[in-house]
Amino acid sequence: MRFFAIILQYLSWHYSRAILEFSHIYKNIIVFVFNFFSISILLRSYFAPWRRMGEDYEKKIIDDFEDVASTFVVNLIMRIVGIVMRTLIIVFGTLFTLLVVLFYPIILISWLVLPLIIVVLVLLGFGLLFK
Amino acid sequence: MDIKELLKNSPLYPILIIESIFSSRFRRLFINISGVFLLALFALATFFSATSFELSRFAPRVWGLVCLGLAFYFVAKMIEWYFNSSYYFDNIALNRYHPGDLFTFTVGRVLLATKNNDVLYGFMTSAVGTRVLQRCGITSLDIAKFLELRPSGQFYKIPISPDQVLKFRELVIFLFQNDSTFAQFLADHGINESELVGAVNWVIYEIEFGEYRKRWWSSSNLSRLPGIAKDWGFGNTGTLDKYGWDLLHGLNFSSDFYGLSSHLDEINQVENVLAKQKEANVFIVAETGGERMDIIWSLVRRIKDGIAPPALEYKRPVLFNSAVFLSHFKEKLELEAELLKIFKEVSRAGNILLIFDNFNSLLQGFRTLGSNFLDLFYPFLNSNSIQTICLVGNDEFHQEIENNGSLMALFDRVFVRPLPVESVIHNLEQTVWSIEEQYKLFFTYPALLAIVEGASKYFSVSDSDDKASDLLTEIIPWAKQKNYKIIDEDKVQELLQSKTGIPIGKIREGEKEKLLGLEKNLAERVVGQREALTQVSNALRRARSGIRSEKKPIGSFLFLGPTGVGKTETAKALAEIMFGAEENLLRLDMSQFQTSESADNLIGSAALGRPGLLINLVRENSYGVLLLDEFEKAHSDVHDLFLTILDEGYFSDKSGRQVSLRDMIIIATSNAGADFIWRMVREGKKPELESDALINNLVTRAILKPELLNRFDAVVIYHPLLDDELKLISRLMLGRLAKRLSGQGITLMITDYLVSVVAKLGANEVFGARPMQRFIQDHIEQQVADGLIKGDIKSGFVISFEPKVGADEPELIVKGNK
Repeated sequence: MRFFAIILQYLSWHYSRAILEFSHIYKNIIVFVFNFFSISILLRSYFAPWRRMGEDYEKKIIDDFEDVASTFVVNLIMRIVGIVMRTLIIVFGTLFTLLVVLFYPIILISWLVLPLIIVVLVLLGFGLLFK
Repeated sequence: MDIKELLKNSPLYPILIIESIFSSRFRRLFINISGVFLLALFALATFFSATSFELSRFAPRVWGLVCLGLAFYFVAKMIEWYFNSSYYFDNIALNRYHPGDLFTFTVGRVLLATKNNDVLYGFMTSAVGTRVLQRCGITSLDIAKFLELRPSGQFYKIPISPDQVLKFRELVIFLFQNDSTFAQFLADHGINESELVGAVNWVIYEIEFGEYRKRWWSSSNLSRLPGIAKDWGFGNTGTLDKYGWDLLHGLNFSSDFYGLSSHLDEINQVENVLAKQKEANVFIVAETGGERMDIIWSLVRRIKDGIAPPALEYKRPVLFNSAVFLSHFKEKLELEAELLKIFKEVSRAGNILLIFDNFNSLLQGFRTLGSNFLDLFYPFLNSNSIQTICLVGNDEFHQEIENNGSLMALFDRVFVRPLPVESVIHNLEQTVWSIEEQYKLFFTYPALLAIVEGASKYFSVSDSDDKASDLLTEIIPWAKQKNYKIIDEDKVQELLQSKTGIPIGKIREGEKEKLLGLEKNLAERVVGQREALTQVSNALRRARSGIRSEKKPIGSFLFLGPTGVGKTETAKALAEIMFGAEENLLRLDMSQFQTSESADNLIGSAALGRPGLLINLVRENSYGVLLLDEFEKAHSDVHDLFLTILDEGYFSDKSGRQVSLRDMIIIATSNAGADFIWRMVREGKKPELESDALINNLVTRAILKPELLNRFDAVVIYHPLLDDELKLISRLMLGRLAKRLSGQGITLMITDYLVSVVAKLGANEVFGARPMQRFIQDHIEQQVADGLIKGDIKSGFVISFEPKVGADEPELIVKGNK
């Protein structure tokens, strides 16, 4: 009788509070993954040159068009490199985060059926053992 | 109230039971091992299924075992999750509680260990109680002995009520106050209530900190791993990296549990300054490098943990190594070019927090090469394109930096206050855990207190946190060398004593003899003056027995009497007997401090820009005899300075730092009342018994103020030496000469005639026995030296001195070979 009471107490935890707590932890993990790929800061600095590399215009004379143009090209390349690198990480990070998010229902469903899985495993185990 | 019943009705009961049957450590181990076992079984099943041999018929059974094992594993995991849910999510692990709870989890662990409602038994046998007692330096064996011998059946109505949750600390205090056998047991081990509570706090802190770290899923623990592309928006700093240390990568210690325990105010101030839009630079001014870096490390930790203000979120703090930088350059131009390159890099990078330690040394270094650091620094500071933290000491800040108006306009300043003792202890508690784990040592709580107390008392003026950590670090190799596993109060005192030479803690055997025989030992060197020596000896015995106030010097004496009667000799003898060597006598001729600037010369002043004479003396040797010769001649300001020293045992230097003289014997000598003493002698009185009259005389003549005279532990009067005493001194001095001559194989016969003639001609009323040494040199030693040079005296000869016809001084007679 006492055993069933404990099982009942457990099951009520398993299907109520445990789900809330699990969701809370899962939220922490999703936030962590999102932060790990620094997606928000990459978006905010999307068009910035790669690692702020580049040249200054300040001392160039306007007449020296060639020099100004070369500076412009260098800076443009740096920005393109930055955009490419950021795009790669943003795409990869977003996909990974999505994957983690998508896993949530799968893990949740597994959690919900876990008691049943255990019963099935026990039955199957004994069945195979004494086949 | 039945405790078992109380427990069963508590919501903590299930997890208390789980924890007591299978400790969390055991459960984790079990789950890990069964996981590995399951994998092996799975591999075996796969192998059996794949093989075409005879073995394949076992495959279904092995698969059956895999299924059962997996089911078993899931059940174990579910129990663990169930436990964690309650244990961690309700913060039970951290001893938090809910309305309606009667006690915290730690108290529950004690109650679970009780037998027959004996709570003290429960406390002393539970894991957490044993840990507390171990921290008090009490072993499991002591506990077992105590429990065996104590009267059985101790019942208390433990203070549990529905209105108030019983916490572990309160329970232990309750036991201490209500069970006299327990209090006595602790007292026998030298533990008082406050030490017990300190140990309890430490143990609770240890448990809660450990549990906090286990919660890897908490957002604060997860946020510790930095993002991979965090720096991409910012520039590289190749040149700076050559001379700088990226502190985010240097942060090898764990984040603090409850936020920050020490210097929280100062850290907030620094963060507020750094978060400003403009002129977001700051000077951190602290006495020691340790305190300055403590703030920096805390700031770095907060940036790393993501709890710093948003303006600092992506900052990269880099500590600039000025010494390495300066050592690279011999030419001014190269130096300046490289510095400008670094500033440009920092300015372009956009996320650098540039930190200069010992900023004044950096300025000095540039000046040495003929350059001015600030001229190069200003344009970048003015344009707000770089952000800096400069660390500097108190003195250096006031002397070199504060007066620079243009620099100060761009900087805020944060002064770091020395930590209170509680914070120093708290910091040490955290450090000790890692030391214990790494070096397999165990520290008791009284040992920790001894470290903090010792550090502040024997090594420092104000930087106790730094010194305590240094001392703690020093203990490790010392304990390893001596093969000590447990570091208790005695061990710390042993180390302190070996480092300082100061007897600390219990009076040990040799010292006891020294103290008890002090008069006798002093009398071997100081002739006569029995009263004076007794007075000094009594005062010192009082001091060492622990009766003296800790906040005063060991002893303070004013020796009054004519010249050459043994005042200085007493001080020298004390230095040798009490402190091991005559070199431990620090001497100040107070006649040199007669002007109004004298006090400044002694303790230093900002105007002089150098430390005072007394500070230099005391810093070199803070344990010994401080002799203040001709004390009455010093300026009244100097006398006032000594009012504090004699009263409090310390004085404050020009920066307000306290310099301690609490481990010194202070002896002031004066012959101010010599004429009065002589008058008393002529009247047939004993001056040593007339001290009140003499003191009145000095006060009336305004030589010394009454409040100063009252501050001394004793005013000791030396009487003029009598003929017999002079003869004794003469014999002592001749004895020393005879000893020196015996080294060359020459025997000097010390006859009564020689003794009395030296006593008579060598001493006088004004200078007492002081000229005696000179007389021996001029009239005795000289004749021996002449004889040696002429060849009249050789090794193996016996010499003597006889009266010379027609002259006062004695004549050398060679008595021939031995």
